[in-house]
Amino acid sequence: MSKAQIQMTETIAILIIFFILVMFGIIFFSQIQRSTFEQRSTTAAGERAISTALRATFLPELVCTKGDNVEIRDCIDVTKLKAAAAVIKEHEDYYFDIFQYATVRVEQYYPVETTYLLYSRTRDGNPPNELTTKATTPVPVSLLDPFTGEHYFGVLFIEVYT
Amino acid sequence: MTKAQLSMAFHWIYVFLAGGVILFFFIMIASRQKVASEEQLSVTLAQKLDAIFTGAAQTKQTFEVIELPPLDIYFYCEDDAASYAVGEKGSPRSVPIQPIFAPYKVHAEPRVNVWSVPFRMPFQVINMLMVDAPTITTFLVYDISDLASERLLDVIQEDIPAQFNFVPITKEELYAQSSLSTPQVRLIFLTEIGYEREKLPPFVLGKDPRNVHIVQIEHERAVTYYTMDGNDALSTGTITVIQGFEEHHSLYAALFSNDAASYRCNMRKVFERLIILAEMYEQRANDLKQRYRAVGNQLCELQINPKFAELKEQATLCRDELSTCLAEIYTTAQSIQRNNAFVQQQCAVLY
Repeated sequence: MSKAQIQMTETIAILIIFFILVMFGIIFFSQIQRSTFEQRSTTAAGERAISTALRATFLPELVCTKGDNVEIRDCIDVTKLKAAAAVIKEHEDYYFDIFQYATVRVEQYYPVETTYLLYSRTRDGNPPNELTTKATTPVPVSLLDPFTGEHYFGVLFIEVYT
Repeated sequence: MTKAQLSMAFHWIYVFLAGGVILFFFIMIASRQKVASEEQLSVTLAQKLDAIFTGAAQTKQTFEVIELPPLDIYFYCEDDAASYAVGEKGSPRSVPIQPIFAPYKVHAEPRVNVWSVPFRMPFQVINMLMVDAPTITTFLVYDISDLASERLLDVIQEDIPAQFNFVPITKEELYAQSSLSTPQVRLIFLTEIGYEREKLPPFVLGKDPRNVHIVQIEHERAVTYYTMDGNDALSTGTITVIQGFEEHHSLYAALFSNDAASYRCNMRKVFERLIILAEMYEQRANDLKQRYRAVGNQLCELQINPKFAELKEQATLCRDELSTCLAEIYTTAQSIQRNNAFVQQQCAVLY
């Protein structure tokens, strides 16, 4: 092999090693990017869950009032709850902009166990099961029946599908 | 030239070419990375703003200061589409429900002010958000010989949080002003526009028209928007301000709005919500009546007689054309409020 040929082979070898190193660098970088992207998605989903929970908790459609519309904190009016469930069903697209993919329900525990489903929409359109990934926010609430003036105990569940 | 010399020259040409290609490759990666990270930053900030706006919208009558890096937030609301974006080319974030009254561009340096005010008709409908920044100076222009403008000034100063950069100024002082330290200016005329022969004060003439917002309050129920056209101010539209149960909140919303179209667009969201709530309260009132009938409580059954259906009809008219419905809807809402006050002495509240 002549000297020139050896030099050429050397140059080609250096280039190959260089590009292999660049390739490793790109693969490493893209892996980091991917994991960062996944982390960001998780954070965004968490933030979305908090926003949805906040919207549901302070929904004027549900909150108990006295006098001239003075709100009572952490209290849900049962009669409003029933009417709201029917109206939300009729205006599902409007409420999708508020809750997006989520289930909002109120579970009454005392004196009688009852569940009121307010809103539910999953990404695949099927009812949620135990495999559906979600962030759940339970909010203990007092349930008021203004007809009798009695207060019951329940929990408002906001499940946001991530 | 010997063969060795020629070979050396080619060797260097080869080295420069290869080096150039490699350098170009890295520059390309770096520039793409820069664009991607800018987009990412815009999305991240928009998400943070979304969370902040959601939080602010849940509490009535609150004022929030949001510390932000220097950036521009663009608000857009026209017809049925509403969104905001961080940066002019940032990806827009849709805001279909929440009414946000703000200028087209808010330059956050070092913060953004968010004020949440309730809209009631007569029940709580939604909290409206007003967004502004210290980079916008708002002049409340009044005339000492115009009593109505002075009265309006007192009302506005009493209600609007002091943290907003609102400066009361007489017409004479405004037209004598020569410079302004902030990049954006909003002129709210509580009286007629113009002084002597000048339509606009000299210090705004050198500014980009997009950074000058001119609003004139004709009276408490009408606001006209203007745009700068050379040395003149051209009217771009007049809006009718609805009288809500918090007397001046809709007027303040108009003052923070960019123009007539964005005010109408945001108020449409308010009425859309009012329609749904009126429907819900009507259904609830019917349920209550039935329950009272079932237990033989005729008093409550007869007393519960709210005009929610009428309210819904009028809210639909308001949503479609703001100026056609305003007097009627307020009268109906007052009637519902009276019925609620009467009913709740012995029966359940109506809303």
